[in-house]
Amino acid sequence: MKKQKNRTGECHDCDEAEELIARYVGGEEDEELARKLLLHAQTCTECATLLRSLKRLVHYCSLEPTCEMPVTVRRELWVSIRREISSD
Amino acid sequence: MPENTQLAVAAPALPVPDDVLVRRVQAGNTEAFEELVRRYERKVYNITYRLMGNEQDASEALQDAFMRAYRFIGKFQFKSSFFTWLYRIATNVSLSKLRKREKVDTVSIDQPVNEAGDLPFEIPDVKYGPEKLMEQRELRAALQKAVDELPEDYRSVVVLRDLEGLSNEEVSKVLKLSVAAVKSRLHRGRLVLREKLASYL
Repeated sequence: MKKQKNRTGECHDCDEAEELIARYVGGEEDEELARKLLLHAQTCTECATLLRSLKRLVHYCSLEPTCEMPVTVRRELWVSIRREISSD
Repeated sequence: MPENTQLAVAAPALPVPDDVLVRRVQAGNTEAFEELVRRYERKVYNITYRLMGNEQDASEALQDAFMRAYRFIGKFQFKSSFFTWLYRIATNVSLSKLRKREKVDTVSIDQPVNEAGDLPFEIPDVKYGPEKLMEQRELRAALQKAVDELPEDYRSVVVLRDLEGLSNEEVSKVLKLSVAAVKSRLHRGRLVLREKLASYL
């Protein structure tokens, strides 16, 4: 990621911003972190895009429904388990 | 009948804690093991499915994971929670099968996501027109495919953390990694997914 001086002086380059993004998207709740990130994102389109897309990605993942376990898979599992238990 | 007895009867039975069930299995009670299977079969299937990417392999990994759990439960020493131990077995079994599969198939296996079990993918603030639903199905399939293609180190972390909803600390226990390593792999994995799913994000 390209280096970029930030006029606010709060966040000096995009590498630091990416670390902040990782922490922020990773669920770290810290007002100071969010403030620094926001300041940087206001002046850097690249980091703003990265932040937005990672947030969407995590959001989409969190909405993924639980896989339905097919009846056949469950049946085979229980056949194996009962066989294992009875051979014990 | 005394009044307080009536209240006791009305109270819902609390589930038997995992640790108690494990001790019963260790003492030879096989029904306790069956109760543990019933408790975790869906969650373990989710992990194996997400890691393996198709129903057939996920089913084999699921069976292997519970077989191993049964064979080795006697050695479980309660140093971690039962589910952490079980998830670790399921993850290791799946990753081991993946390595074998990748050795056999040099071409990547683009198994489609199980369409039969598809549920509408819910994204808030969207209109559920046919076009949108198609887009959501596409996204789900693309997400699973992208996860399938992740390097192993990233895949297990992304599956457990982002798809199964475990905390960083829980993932670190399951995978026996430091929390810092989990965070690092998670971020790198997410960056790879972001590249692959760029058109959806």
